Amino acid sequence: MPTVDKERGVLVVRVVYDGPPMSGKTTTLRSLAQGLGVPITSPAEQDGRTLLFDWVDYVGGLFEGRQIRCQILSVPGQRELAARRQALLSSADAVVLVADTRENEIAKSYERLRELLPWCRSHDPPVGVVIQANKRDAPDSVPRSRIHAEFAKIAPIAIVDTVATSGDGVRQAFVFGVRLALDRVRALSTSSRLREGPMEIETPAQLIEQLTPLSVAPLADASVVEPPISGTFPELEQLAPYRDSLPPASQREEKPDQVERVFIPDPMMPGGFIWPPVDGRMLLHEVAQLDQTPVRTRRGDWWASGEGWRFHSAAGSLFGDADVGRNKLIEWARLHAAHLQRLSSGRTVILADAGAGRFRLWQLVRVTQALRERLLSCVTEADAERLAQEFQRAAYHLLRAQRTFQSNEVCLPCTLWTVSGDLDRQPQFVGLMPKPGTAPLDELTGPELLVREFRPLLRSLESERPDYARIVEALRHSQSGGVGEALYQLTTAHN
Amino acid sequence: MGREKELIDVIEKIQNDASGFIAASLVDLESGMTLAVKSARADFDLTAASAYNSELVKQKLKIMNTLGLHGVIEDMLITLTEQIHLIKMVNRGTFLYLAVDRSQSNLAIVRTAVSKHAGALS
Repeated sequence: MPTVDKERGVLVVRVVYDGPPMSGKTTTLRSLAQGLGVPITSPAEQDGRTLLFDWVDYVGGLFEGRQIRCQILSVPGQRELAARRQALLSSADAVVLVADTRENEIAKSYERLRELLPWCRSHDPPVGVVIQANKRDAPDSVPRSRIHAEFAKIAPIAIVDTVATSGDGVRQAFVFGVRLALDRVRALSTSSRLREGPMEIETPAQLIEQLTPLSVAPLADASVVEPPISGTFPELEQLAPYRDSLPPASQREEKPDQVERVFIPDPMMPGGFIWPPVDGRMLLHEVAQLDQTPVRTRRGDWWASGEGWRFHSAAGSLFGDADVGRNKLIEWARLHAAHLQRLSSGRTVILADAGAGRFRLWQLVRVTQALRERLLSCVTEADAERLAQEFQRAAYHLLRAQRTFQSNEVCLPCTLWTVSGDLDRQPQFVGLMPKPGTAPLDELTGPELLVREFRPLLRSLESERPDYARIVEALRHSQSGGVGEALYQLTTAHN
Repeated sequence: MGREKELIDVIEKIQNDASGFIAASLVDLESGMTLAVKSARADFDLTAASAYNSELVKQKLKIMNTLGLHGVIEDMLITLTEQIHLIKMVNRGTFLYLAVDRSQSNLAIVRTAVSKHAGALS
């Protein structure tokens, strides 16, 4: 928990280095300490293995006029010491996950992230994670693109390449970790939950006292216990206007004729301009690695797509004033928060500097397979019976989505393009979020919706599949009741 | 942005070109944390200087906002009796901070040296 120590005029945050055994956590901290010019304390080691923690205390940087004191800790990686690791992680404001990227070791880090991430995200506000892809100089290190792809399957996350033995990239990963911790501090501060007073743990000796009694046997279940997930979204509070924000600038004339600054995702952009605050920055770090430059469409929107992401900004999302833009960002954030269960993961909304004092609101959405893509892949691969079955399942999924997407605030468009293609899970909206305040669509329901979405597909199927008659027959004899019947009617209606 | 060693290489090039070099750092504007440092004087607290200069840049940005100035900060020059301090924005979130001995250098030399190499820091 971050703490403001008013007596000393410092903000204390804790950055914890986690990772599988022998991934290079201690080496990283030694290297970091050397670079920062501060000592490192390693209370107990056995054959090069950390038994308690490594501790680096560093004062640097400034947050709202206070110096930032970083307690930088590494956890013991061994399973027998899981209780100690858990205790250290539970006090983290940001986690740097040190991953050994050699071919035979990398899987342990994927596993570690899978275990760690739900726990970090269940905190309120969430604890940010940055991956330190270590040992990049090893001859058998996994190619960067593969590491990114594998981690991206788990979550969009910030990854920094490092060679801890030489210190390469170590400071960069650390500063990004501090940034994530400060996002958390800001969220706590704006909701008046930032702790004030002396730190509970000031020295390595005090931490030893706290950790030593803990078990050295493996925990019964997962080594990190998952706390209950919060039902509220307090990160919204962090978007409230800055306490020290300037009075609103006088009405300024927008200058639409001025050339806009090209949008470049910047993970180091100021806090308060990203939603969600911690996850959004992690996601932005990942997006920044992509080679995507948005282009302007004929409608005046800005758009980019590729490498698993979509960037979009509506023509009217340009603001001549940061305060106006931030108010709009809050609206967007509220809308997202209200629909969180219905939305695909990997989304962020940011207010980016567009030059000449203007700001543009962007939504960045990680691409998730839609129903249409799923069906199209089946068209080329599945036999007639299987394809008929897939169509019925998809139709059922679409109707279910239509009911799920209905809301008083905004109606999420329900099409084969916007509904998730994973039929084994609750339908999710995978498209671009409509603008807040958009009038609800007069969305079709039931058979009418099926006609609109499936008729074009069935038509193309007729010309593409020589066994079309068998598909129709399979639909006719389907046991799925109304949905199968409705699809069968579609095939006969257009003949 | 390059790795720490590459960044320090660039700072060293600036050091070679700007006579009277005291210290320089690449600073994350939001946190005031240093991404790369190089100092020729042990008594110069570069960590603190970098942190407080990040506050200076932020305050200047607020002033610009209040005045409705739509431009961007390119650099900030502070001339002290014995030193010259230059802040050069590398991108919107990062700046280079450089301190030189005024008796051994001048504004033109400092700006030229920084402009020549700062592009490699972005």
